[in-house]
Amino acid sequence: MSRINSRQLFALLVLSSAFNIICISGIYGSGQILGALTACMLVGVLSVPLLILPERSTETVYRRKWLSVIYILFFLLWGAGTLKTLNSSAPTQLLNVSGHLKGLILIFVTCLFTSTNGIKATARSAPIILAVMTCSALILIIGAWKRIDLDTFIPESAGFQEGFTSCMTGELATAVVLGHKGNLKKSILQYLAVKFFLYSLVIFLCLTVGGRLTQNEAYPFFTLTALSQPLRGQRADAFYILVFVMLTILHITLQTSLTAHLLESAFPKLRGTAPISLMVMLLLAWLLPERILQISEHCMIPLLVCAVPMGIRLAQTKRKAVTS
Amino acid sequence: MPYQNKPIPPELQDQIANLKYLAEYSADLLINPVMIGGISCALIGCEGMLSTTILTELVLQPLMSIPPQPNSQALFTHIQNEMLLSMDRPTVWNYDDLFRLLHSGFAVLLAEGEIKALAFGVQGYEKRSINEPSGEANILGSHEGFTEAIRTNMSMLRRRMKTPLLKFELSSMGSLSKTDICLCWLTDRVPPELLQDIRNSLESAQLETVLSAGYIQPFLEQEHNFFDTVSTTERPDVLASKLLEGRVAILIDGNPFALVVPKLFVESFQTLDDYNFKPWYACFLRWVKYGAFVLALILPALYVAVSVHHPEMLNQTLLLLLSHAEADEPLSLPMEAIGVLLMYEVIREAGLRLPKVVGGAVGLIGGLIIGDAAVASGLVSTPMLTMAAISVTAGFIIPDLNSIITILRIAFILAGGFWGLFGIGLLGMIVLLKLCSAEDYGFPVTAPVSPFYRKGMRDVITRVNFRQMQSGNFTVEEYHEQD
Repeated sequence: MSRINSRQLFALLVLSSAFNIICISGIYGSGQILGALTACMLVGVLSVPLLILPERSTETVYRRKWLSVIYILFFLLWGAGTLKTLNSSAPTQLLNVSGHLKGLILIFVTCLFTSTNGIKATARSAPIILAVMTCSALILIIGAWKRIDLDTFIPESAGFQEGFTSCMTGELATAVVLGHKGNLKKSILQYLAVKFFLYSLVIFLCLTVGGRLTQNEAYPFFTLTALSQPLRGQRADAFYILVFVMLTILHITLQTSLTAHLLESAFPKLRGTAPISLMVMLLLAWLLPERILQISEHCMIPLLVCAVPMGIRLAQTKRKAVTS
Repeated sequence: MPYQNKPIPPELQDQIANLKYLAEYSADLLINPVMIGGISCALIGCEGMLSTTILTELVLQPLMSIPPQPNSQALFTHIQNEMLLSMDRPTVWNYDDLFRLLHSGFAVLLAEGEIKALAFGVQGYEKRSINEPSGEANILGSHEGFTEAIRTNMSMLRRRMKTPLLKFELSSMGSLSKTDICLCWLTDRVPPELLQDIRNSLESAQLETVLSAGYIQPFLEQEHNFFDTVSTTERPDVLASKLLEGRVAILIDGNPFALVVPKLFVESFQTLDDYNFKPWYACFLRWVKYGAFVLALILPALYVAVSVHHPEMLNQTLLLLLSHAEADEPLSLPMEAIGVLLMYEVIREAGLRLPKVVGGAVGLIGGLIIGDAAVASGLVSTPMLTMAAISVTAGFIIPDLNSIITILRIAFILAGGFWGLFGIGLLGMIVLLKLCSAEDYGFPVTAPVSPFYRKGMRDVITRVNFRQMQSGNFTVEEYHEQD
């Protein structure tokens, strides 16, 4: 298994969640922040068995074919969900192609190419993209600063459920499948904190900068970028296309590479695993409704993030007891 | 039987006949029959490869003064045990070694009744003197560059590293050229596995000739990646510094460049002068180079993308200026940009391939007259020419990446022209992931940025002074990734 270091894992997890955050569908109220906090804390609790696993323990996933298949299924559904989100959010972007379908095809072809580079390449690129994303977040904050109206931020419970479901995502399953070097606990805890911070920031800015305008939009983040301009007389909306493209490609490439890697280990004779994975994701995205994809993702999280690592840990303890 | 394994027969007549037959009576083969110590012998040489002065004074005169010997065995024993005719004096047992040494400037002594030959290193071929490197100029460092003679290059390196830890391993490559190649490394800093991997890679090369470093480089690199994972240098001081960091160098006879394994992407931005200037100035220069790389790669593409697809990113003054400049242009912006850059490439190639005197004039005519005429005739706009000029000039700062920048610059213009920043983003991700996938012998090209190594940052984000650097004990092995 290609082991990546904890910094790369952190960057991959943050960027994956950042894609979901910039594609949030709807602003319902400040309760979303509380929902997000609850979801992040719950994911943190669920990941305790993963945190106490020693290094290289997760390689068990590759030794048991049925376990690999479960993870493959999850990543395929997760990837299909991403493609579905991309399909619905792309029309709100200025992609400079006639019809958003062409844009989607271009993204798809790019992902076909990038996913063949493997997990290590994806992991190595993640900290660099994270640096770009941090810069863009700073530009966004600078642009939004003058337009923040704190009066529009009213503490309320509305949106709790939306916030909870938005942050109850399966990025941590990648941490189970990817071998890691370094401090996993620190990476995961930092990731959860950063994810909550980013989500809260976007909700806060949408509420205080966009107000009612963003509340009526399907994808409020893109409206926010249109509203927060750092320079007078020059618009910077197009800059966020770069960020959107980078996050999208990294997110899909990660999902495809992981699926391909698991497929290779489960079915060693299979060739062209990356294109096959991407094609299946596309097929699932076309066949299944978004709600089903979301529900299946949420249902599988406790199993993949909590039950499997716990099972591995118990098996290890049992084996130790038998040998001693 | 192929001549490579053909043993030397005992009769001198056969020995010489075989030589002539195998060399097909080549004009540069010199065969001098002579009686030494009362035994019939022949002194063989290759014209132009050996020094006649050294041969006469150090070999011929002592040989002619040998007292009569009972047989050829006694003669060879006498020469080997009681005479020191040259420092390098191998014994030859077959024609393969004989021709290799002969063509490397050795004089070979054959004797009647002896199935071996004695070779004496009396090389004296003409070679270029040590000059300043043409491609890696610097201000404060040494002005010596490698030459084509491998042994001169080895000595230049040895002068800078007077330690027994520096090891040279000579071998030959090319079934016809038998080119000498030399692996160089510091024994305490390079793991044996890396060395063995490099040896295996070199052995996998089944070449007929090795005429330049480009012949060997593909065998040391990862396939299907457009980023270099092997670096080259023509400076012995730079090579010494790379060996100090635990890298392995390959010197090639007839080539003034050394190949260095492994290569890191950040090395393309480092020059010897960075370590001669004050750290704060070196740091400033380094960031100028990073900025120049970005400008060289995407400035024309950004100009095209913003002008065509995202004019709202420009302020009113700039927008009016550009629209006024581009209003009367007959070509579309992407075509105009590609045309200007291709024209530049044509002028550059012409300047490089022509004799230096004419080459300079071509550059001048191309740059000034054609450029001026193109703008005056309305074929190219001034802003476009300015963008192209800035981008090309920025590329000069990082000569190591020139080839890749040239190709990617055009690809980015096409992507930006067709799909604006969306296209630039797509291509940017392809390039970034391809760069991140590049690794050689387990060393990722993107280290120490990603994977991140804090210690490595002292020579990437900044350039710390030698007081801090001396405490490093850094070797590139720290970046080695194991599965």
